Amino acid sequence: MLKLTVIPGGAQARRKRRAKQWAAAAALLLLTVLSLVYIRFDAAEFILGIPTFLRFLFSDFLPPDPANLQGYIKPVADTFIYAVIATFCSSVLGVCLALLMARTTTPHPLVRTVLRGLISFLRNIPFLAWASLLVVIFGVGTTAGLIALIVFGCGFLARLYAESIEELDQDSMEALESCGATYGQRIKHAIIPQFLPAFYSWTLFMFEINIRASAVLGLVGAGGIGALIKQTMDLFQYGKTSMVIAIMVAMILLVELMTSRIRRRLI
Amino acid sequence: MEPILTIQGLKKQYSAGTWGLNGIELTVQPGEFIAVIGPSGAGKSTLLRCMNRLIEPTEGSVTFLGEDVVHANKRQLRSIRARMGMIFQHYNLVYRSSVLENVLHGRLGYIGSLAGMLGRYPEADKEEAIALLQKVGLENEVYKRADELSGGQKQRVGVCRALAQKPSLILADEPIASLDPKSSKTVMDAIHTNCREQEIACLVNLHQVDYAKAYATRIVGIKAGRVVFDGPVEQLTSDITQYLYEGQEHEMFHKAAI
Amino acid sequence: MAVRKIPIAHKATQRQQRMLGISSLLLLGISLYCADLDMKQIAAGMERLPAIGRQLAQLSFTNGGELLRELVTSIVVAFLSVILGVVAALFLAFLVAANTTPNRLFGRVLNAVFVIIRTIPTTIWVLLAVASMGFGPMAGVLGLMFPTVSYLIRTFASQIEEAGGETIEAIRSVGGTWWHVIAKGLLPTLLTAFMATTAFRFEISVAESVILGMVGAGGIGSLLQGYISYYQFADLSLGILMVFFTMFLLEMGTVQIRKRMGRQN
Repeated sequence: MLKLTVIPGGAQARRKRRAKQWAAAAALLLLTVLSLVYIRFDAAEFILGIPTFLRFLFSDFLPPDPANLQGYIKPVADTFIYAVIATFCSSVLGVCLALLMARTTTPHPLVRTVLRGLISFLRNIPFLAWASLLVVIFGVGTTAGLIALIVFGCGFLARLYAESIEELDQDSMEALESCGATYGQRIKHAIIPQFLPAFYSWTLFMFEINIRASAVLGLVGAGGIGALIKQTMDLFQYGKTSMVIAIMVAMILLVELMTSRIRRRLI
Repeated sequence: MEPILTIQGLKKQYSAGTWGLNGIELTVQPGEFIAVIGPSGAGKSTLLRCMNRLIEPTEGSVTFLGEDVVHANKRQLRSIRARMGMIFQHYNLVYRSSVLENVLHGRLGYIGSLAGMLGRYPEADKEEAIALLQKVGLENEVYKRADELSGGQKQRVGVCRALAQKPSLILADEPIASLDPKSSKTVMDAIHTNCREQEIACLVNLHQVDYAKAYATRIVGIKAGRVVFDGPVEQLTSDITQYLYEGQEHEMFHKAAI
Repeated sequence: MAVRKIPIAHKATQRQQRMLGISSLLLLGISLYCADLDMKQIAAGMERLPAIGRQLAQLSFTNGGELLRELVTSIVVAFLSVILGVVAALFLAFLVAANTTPNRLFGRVLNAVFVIIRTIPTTIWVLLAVASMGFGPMAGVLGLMFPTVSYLIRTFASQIEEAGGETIEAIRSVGGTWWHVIAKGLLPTLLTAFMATTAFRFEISVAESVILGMVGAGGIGSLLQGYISYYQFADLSLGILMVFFTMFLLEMGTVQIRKRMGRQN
């Protein structure tokens, strides 16, 4: 894909291109300087801050404090449980939405446009903003977190699924149409079988994301392992915080390993 | 005899000014085996797809067994399509489904929408589907997945799917254009024999003039969206083929030199 | 009369589908059984929903200026973290990529470190940065740099590994040094790909940066969090809309950039 760049055109074109590159670089530099001024960036403080940060990281956080390990079992289990429920709900809803909004399967172009707008709105509002709002509505606890995961996951999956459906081979849809198959029959027999591999793959991906997300959810009061991180940090028990983070990292890596195993065995 | 299909003044306009079809007149009698020949881009494929409205025609009429195809509503169209089989150049199978399921798709037009979605085909349909597969020499492939088959085998599955519809007319769009000579012959034989035995009329789009001559009872030549030749095989002189492929002779020779 | 049904499906495919279906339903069942879902809480929330929806619908522009200022701060934080991140990642990626690393073992160890950094969510990095540097955008820049750098390193490294082969051999064969390989061979070749990656990462960083305020790193997130805690939903909806449009425009922008890069290659 990538070859040594051969610049087309003569010397003049080359010079023009050069000038353009310099202009872009200068603009970028200017933008950087303006940005630094805008947030009153103090280079000295920042650079000095880095060793402070590292010292903080290595002396206050490490080593992890292994006390009270069994206390972490429930939040970890909760994280798994909610990730499973959220993944399931958002994948079911996501498939329905995706079929309605994919160009090749939508019952009407208007449905597609409206849904796409809605999904784009859902998706482009940061996840944590949803979670935080839902905590206000549903109260502090895992319920708000679960609903946030479902709402966000639903938009996320609908888009990915819809893209996969649009990429599918249209030939078999055409063939089934020519046999006199109804809309429902075409979806079931031409789209679903071909879509399944992508469906499994994206759904597993969603599960991974949900596990990661639940670590963040706790920070705005929506339960899961993240709540422990906030709790311990607020109490300056940094050793415990790093223990929780270590558990979280292990959990995420384990889930990734598992899902990639499953993916490889799909036919 | 009452014709199976009558086409009058059929036109299809693509984007402004480009006419895919430009006033086609055609009548198909029961049991005929018609080869539609012509250079690529002449509108053969569009013509076939306008007959079952996979492509909506712009003007003109199509009458199939006395029913108006162009103005048929959803339900009528479904029943019309169920009685018209179609075979495609790229087989158009569902490759992640079994061979048998692919053949049974031909029955979807006849069973209820929900039963079809659940895959509840009548046992008799299944038996007939298996019999069809046996007849084209795929008895060992019934439970294989469609993506495990070779090109020629895939097209034979496509033929079985069309036959499973028990159609009065089969539309075959370049059924052998992607196949090697040996498979081409097997596939053409399968289409020809079955259409003969079951008295199914058949319209086959073909590139290859020699195949057209070998199988067809009648030949229709299409050029620039119009019928320029329509007659029995014997009347197709080399002058006419020359005229048909004018400027695109390489295509004819290349494909015909099997 | 029992008529034997003729099976129609492909056996192995069907078996796998059934197994996946059954095991996921089983998992769901266990999860639902173990989860202490409070239906009353959900019902109460649903009742509150219309009222809050009405409040959200009353868009208020009174805090527009403040929101805009903080939105720009968020974008600036993301921008700076990406700029600083690219500088660091450009250097480190060549140390990690399998075909340019000066020492295999060293490259692997470095890679493992970055895998762990990447696994820890951005929000937690920012939380740590805030704990050490205090509240403010600088903590945001520092916190965002960790995931940004590790993301860029991974992507850059795989691009180097993909494109390396011949270029490296060609330059090595005429006696070029490690620096020659990188500065004369790989950097010019990979510049467009790197730029596309960076643009894409910028989009992600902005998305992360707007929420960082929620854990105390400045930017529009802290305003949003404030509005939520004080039930100022009319102001909140303006903030959410602003975030939405920013993200939407950014997405369009990166799509354009990627299209152009695609055409160039």
